[in-house]
Amino acid sequence: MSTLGTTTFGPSGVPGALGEPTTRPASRRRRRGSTPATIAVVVVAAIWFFPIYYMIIDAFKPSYDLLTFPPQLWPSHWTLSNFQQAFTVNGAGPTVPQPSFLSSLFVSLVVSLVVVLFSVAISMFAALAAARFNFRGRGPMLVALLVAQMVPFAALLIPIFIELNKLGLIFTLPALIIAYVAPVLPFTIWTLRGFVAAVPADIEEAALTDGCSRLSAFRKVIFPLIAPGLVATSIFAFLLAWNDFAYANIILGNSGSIFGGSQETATVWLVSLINPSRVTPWGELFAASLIFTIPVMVFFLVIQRRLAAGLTAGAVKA
Amino acid sequence: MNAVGDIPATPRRRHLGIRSTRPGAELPSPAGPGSVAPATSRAARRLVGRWVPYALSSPALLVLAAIVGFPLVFCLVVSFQKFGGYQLVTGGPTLWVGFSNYQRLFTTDFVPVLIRTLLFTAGTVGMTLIIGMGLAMLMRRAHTWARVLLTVVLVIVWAVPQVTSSQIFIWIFDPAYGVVNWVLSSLHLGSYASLSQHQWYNYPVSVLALGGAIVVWGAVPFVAITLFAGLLQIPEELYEAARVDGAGFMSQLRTITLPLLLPILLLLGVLSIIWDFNVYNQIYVLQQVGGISSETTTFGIWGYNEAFVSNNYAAGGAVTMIGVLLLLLVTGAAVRMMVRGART
Repeated sequence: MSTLGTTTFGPSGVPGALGEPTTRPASRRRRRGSTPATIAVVVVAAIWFFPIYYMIIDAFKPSYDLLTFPPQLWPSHWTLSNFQQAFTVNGAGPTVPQPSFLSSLFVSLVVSLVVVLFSVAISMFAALAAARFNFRGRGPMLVALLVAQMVPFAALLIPIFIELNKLGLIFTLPALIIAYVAPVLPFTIWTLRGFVAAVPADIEEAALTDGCSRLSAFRKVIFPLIAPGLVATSIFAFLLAWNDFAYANIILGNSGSIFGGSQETATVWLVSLINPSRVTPWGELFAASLIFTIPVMVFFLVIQRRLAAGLTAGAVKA
Repeated sequence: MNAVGDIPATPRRRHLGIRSTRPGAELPSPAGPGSVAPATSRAARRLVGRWVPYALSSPALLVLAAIVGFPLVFCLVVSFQKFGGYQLVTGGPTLWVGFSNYQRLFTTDFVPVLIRTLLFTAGTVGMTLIIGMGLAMLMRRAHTWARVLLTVVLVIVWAVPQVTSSQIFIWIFDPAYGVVNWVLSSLHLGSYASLSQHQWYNYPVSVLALGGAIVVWGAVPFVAITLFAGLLQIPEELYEAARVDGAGFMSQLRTITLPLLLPILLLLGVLSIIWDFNVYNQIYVLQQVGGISSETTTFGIWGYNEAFVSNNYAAGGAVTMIGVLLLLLVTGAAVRMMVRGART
């Protein structure tokens, strides 16, 4: 029973986050919900949602309603001007021209898409090898992947920065893409391996018996079955790059930093709007944040059934 | 174990994290769902050469070696050299300095930064796991509509980038126009608003507490949803039997829930420790507002500042290596268990 998303083939019957698992006796015998627990859940939901609610309504408040006390928990005036100005507001100082919000969104999109395409393509092969073949070195390979998973994302920044600088790539988009592949790749291999392994080998063997080649068995049997997992994995890999700030701030440089750099990602652009030397344009900031965040929220709601499974499988990094 | 197609003497069993057949044995294992032993299929033996798996995995492994393995080794090497802005720009001569980078770190900021980071990590990981576990248990008992509501909220919160959540919290805690100061004043809990605007960003403790709150707010969804998925797989009969035997809430928690969720809790704990120990974005954004940085610097910020603010990449590398080593010590045992799970 799923409320969001559809029931799909998944790794070893991992239950949906919202609905009950499909074949567990536990769910059938569950008691009816209790009222105190329901009230507590609703209260927590309200508390956890408040910051997002406040961001949303503040994106629609005119500035004279934002800088007012007491704060308005429901806007007395609504405006769309913040969204217009988000595309023209400039966060950096007067001397340094800052890339526009639109161009920073474009940079984020291009970088994230290339990272996903590259990582998922090469990890698909590695995942197949790890899940479907028994070969000398498979054990060490899995251990290496787990260890690579455990390497903190932040730990790689300094050496990667020096290396990219040596190669003359620093402050370019390819540099950022290379840097993001480092944390994304172990995660995508590990997660896809789980999805491939969950496809019963019998199905594949049946296809082979029926005259499929190994390649067409993969294309016609395994691939359709792991497609949902592939989508979920891709979205996570995408988000890792899309939401990152630290790497982008250093490797691309930012218009306010000593390193210069003429391109920045949307997160770097958003952070540069808060500047101690002047009043923060909160309305524009939240309007831009909303534009940046809404697609991600929609993605997450679409794949939510797979969130827990995908993440514990891959032990993704933040 | 040899190359392709070697069939083990006994058919390989599905490994599901917990070896016994006791209830709950189907919880997602740390190794991940579907960590099934490879299919040593007849088909594989018949149709492909033994070079195939190597060809399939080598592109990914080469890339990994180049951008994860090599940088890690390089980081260790650099931490024993003199490597500043000059070496960065000119590629200058390699100067080995032994342990002097480490020595300087240990004699300057190491102890306060370490204590701060450990307290911060313990606080955020503890809060995240406790709140996440509490929510998962509440969701199990709540009406369906409330559970769906909370899940939707959690999923939305999960999707918010750390940079954005930090900015929202900064605005909510704004000294002049913030909701928090207004609520605290309205409740007559002290004068936080109007004339005496409480400056949350001027005190190291409140900056770190606020950073912790942002971290916990963002981390709870993953933990709660994962634990809830785990809870659903514990058969209700176990609790019924325990109640018949007169077990109260606490003893049910101690004897049923926690032991069966242990593999998941272990994984979540390790991940949370790694993430929170290296926390960067939230504290960086807070420091941009407050202007106090030396008293709020944690390990992640420290290495970054040494490298990119002081232009001392060797020192930054040394901080990184210390951090990795400390994390290995803390999480080593748990990681070994996961590796064992993955290999079998």
